[in-house]
Amino acid sequence: MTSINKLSLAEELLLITLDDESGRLLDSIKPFAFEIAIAASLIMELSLKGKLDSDAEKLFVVSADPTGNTILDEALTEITTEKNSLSTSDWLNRFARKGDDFSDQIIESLVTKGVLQLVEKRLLWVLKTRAYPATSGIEEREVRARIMHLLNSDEIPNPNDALLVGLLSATGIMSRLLSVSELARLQSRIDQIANLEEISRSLSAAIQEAWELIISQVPLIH
Amino acid sequence: MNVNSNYKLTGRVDGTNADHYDIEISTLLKSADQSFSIDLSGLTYISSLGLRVLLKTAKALKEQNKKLILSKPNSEILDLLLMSGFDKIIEIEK
Repeated sequence: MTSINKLSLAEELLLITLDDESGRLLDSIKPFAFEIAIAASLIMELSLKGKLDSDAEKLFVVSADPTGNTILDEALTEITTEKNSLSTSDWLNRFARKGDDFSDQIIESLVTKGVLQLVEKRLLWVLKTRAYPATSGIEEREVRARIMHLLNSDEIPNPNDALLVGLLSATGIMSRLLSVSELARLQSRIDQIANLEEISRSLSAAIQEAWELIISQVPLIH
Repeated sequence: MNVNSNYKLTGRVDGTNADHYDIEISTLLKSADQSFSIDLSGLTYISSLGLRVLLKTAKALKEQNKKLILSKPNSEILDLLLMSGFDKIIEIEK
């Protein structure tokens, strides 16, 4: 029997955002949205572990005790030692700047767990590129099945799944999991679930703000 | 027969005491019949972790074909419940 690894939200997000065949980040994901979502997944995981709590105005530490996870503890320490009271959105923007570092560490953790495998390829016989195809794909299929079941039922979600729906919705990844007709049919259910959690609402707003900032700078580029 | 069980939340519910309320309510749910009502009239503040306790309670009850009723929230708490869409899945009595 194949055992399924217990994955963190960040790991589940990354698994879904990697293309099954190439093992690279899906082209349809905007890098800035991915970086903010990775930041959100860390904050969400810390809140699931009871380390952080939030409201519309601020994110605050409930327990500074380490989780034992290097990436989460790095984020928790930074929040704990910050003198100013910052909102969830402030933290999302701050951690998003380290999005690449965090995602590298999360990929490494998935490779260590045997969920992903590292494949090195040579481009033009010189440059090495790395890809991370799934080892068996069982974990990703389990995540997709769980989310599809939740969306197609009227079940009240557990916090973990509600937060994952928020991540997939805000980044636009949900549209990769569903057909156009499924997305249209399930959009109100997706919005309902994503809206339940404050961190998901802040994530959605942060991605929208980043997008508007990019759009506002477009005329300056030309 | 006890059709409704009642519980009252007062003051602040956040990460410092959400676990306590979670355990206390979970214990009471075992004896709840058709519905379980939580009186929010004395609740002055609720954080994300506090809201999760309400959602977890509603989920546990729904899985037993029972329902959670949140009653008499003050205007700020009501706004928060509406903004989070809790009214779509939990009955709220004003």
